[in-house]
Amino acid sequence: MKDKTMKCRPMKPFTSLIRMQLNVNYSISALKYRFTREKKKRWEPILIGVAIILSLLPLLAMYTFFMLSVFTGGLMMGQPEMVLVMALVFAQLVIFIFGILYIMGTFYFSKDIMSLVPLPLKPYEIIGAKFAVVLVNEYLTSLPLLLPPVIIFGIGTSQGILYWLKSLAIMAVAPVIPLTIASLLVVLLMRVVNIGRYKDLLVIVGGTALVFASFFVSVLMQKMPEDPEAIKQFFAEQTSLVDLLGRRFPPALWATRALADNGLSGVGYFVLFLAVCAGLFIFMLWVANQVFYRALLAGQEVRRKRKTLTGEQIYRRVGRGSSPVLALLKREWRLMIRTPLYVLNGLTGSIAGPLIIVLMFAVRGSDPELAMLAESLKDPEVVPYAALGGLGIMLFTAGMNIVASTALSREGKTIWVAKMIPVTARQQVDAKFLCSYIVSAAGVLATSLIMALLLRIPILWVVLPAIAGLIGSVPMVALNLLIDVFHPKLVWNSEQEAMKQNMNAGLGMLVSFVVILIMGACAAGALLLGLPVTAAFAAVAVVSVILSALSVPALHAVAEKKYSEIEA
Amino acid sequence: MIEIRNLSKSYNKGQVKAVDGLDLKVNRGEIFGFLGPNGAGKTTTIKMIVGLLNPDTGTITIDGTDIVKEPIEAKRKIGYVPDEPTLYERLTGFEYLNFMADVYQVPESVRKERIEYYLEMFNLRDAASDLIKSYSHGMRQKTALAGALLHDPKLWILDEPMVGLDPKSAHLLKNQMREHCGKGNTVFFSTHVLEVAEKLCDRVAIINKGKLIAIGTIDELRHGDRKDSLEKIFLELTEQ
Repeated sequence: MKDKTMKCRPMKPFTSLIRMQLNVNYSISALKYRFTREKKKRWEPILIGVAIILSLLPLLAMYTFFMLSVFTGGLMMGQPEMVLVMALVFAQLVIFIFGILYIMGTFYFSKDIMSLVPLPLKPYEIIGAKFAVVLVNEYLTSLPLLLPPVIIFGIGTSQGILYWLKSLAIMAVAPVIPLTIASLLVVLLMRVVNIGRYKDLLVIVGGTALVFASFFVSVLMQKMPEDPEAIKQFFAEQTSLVDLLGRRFPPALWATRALADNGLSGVGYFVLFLAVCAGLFIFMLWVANQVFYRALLAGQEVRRKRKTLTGEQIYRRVGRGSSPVLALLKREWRLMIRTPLYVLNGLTGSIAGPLIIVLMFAVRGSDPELAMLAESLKDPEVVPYAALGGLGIMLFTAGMNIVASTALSREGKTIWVAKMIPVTARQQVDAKFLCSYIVSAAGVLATSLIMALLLRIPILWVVLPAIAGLIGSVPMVALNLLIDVFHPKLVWNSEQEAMKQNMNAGLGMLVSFVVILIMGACAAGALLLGLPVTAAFAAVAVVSVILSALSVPALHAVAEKKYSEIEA
Repeated sequence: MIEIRNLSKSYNKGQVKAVDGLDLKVNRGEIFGFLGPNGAGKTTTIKMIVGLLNPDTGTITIDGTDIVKEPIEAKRKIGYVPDEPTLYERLTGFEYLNFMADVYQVPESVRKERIEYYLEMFNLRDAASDLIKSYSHGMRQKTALAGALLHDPKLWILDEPMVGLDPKSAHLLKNQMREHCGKGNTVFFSTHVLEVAEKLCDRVAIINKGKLIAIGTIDELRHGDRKDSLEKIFLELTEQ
């Protein structure tokens, strides 16, 4: 049989480049290989896909209900198309904001960019191909945001076939304008400032912005009223905002008119929208063609301190040396805190719980419900239960920590060092355990601090959950680490893949969730038996000790087996 | 120092035989060159010797210690540098060396001198405080070499050690290899540069398609014909 992979039909360089970029970035060849050759591992991408869809379903359902109420509100005001304006403005705004960082990363910092420069390709061809990669990825963001409102409006106003055809085209083109504007900003900015130097800082700033943005969205959704009169009132307040955004960003209005208007007017707006997209895109390619290479090459210059170490400095820095476990722990810690993405997903995840409490007080400080909660915490009868709630947050915080569930995966191509050094697998996982435990413990202690300082809970009722939280973190860290040691993802091209796109992180959270449920059930059991609240803390501690006694030896046993099986 | 018996390793469920029934003995005190064309099985063999890959069949002993049965003990005797060492990008060169000294438990009394010695020898003193991600390919290679030699192992195993080294560093490394063997230690290295093998090695082995096709001193491989270069012998043997 003729091997299809060997066909080599000549193609125009630009077309070939786009195909290659899409292939590499979305691992199309790798997936094909997995489905045709490595049939045993076929379930992995399917499982990941199903897991992602399942985890996004609740959010999508929430968003769809939100948009349904926007449509109902708009219909009551005689403006059913408001749902489309809102969705288009929102989707394009989201794509623009996240597009900036993504475009910067793809245009200037992707691994293959320097191997494309020496090829006989024009800068606009490289930018065009990279833009295609970003565009395809942005559909994952734009489609869930646009599809529900388009369907709601289409069905709600009984639109005909032309509407559905136009909506397909609009959805396909919708990300182009915000991405083109983001690209223009990025290429011009990179031409003026050498941002390459501050790449790490950018990841931190971008990631923090993301945390705050998602928090803002969830607060906004919570504020959404439920009864029709309140919805009407809410929209009377919000319409001006949508209108303002729409006017500031006319393409969203054009796209809405293109979809909502029937007849010639609709077609006219449709053509106008497509023409503006195409015009802007061509203009961006023209600008990029002029300035791309210069900024790209300037960004490649690496800054070095080049400070000569004197003999005395070497003597001072070497110190006494450490045990292998301590040396490994130091390495783990340094590599984690020096990698912005790991800091964001590891440390931020761990302090997210306490951070949300602080933010709730900051954002909704004047909320009467919150004031009532603060007042009730002064009641000595309530305090123990609040402390139990605090323990819940601590355990949740420790459980959401993905430092442990990606600890071995993060070694990636440096795994050969772990295989080469004369240190047992047990010692290696002990170091990883300690590193992850420090992060979980930081979350527990941060929650304790907030309980003591912000909520002013008496110290005894802060110490008790802190102790139970510290003990409870042990089995969770051990189990999360066990998951990663059992099936590490060592082949990855970006730190993002090692941590965020690692199935073990999701599995780890799931296991932690089960552990928290078991602990919670034991605590609830103690209370239901009429025992004092302290007994609930004791129950959590006892369960934790039992689970630790099972999980830590299991971790060691699995590590001894799996480390020897890993091939570097 | 190294004793390999009936070593085999295959990939893709046995479809590709990378190493096929290899028997090899490397004596104490010799510089041993491991030669072969691309894809001959050199790196696979080396990775099995140092414990990065698990053999399908066969045994490997390092100074009498089986690498599979007693890996920690065997690894203590080895200093290994891969052909393309991927190091911890976000550690400084100095931190990496100190880490290696810690895991190999290099005594306090000697580690300072050795770190300073290798930083000086490989001209890395200026860069030692910088993150490894700012290093050139050659600097990474030299950092990996320094890290592997810090514990003064009896056996050096170097996969393509000259690739990426500047002439001065390559010269210094060759001298080091000689000196190391002069003390009764052993160096086992793979190379594509036949001139290096010809000048440096006490004995060489040539491997092709996973099988050993020749072993001996350069003179033995020439079969007494002094005019034959190693290149000619190599081409004749590997094209058969």
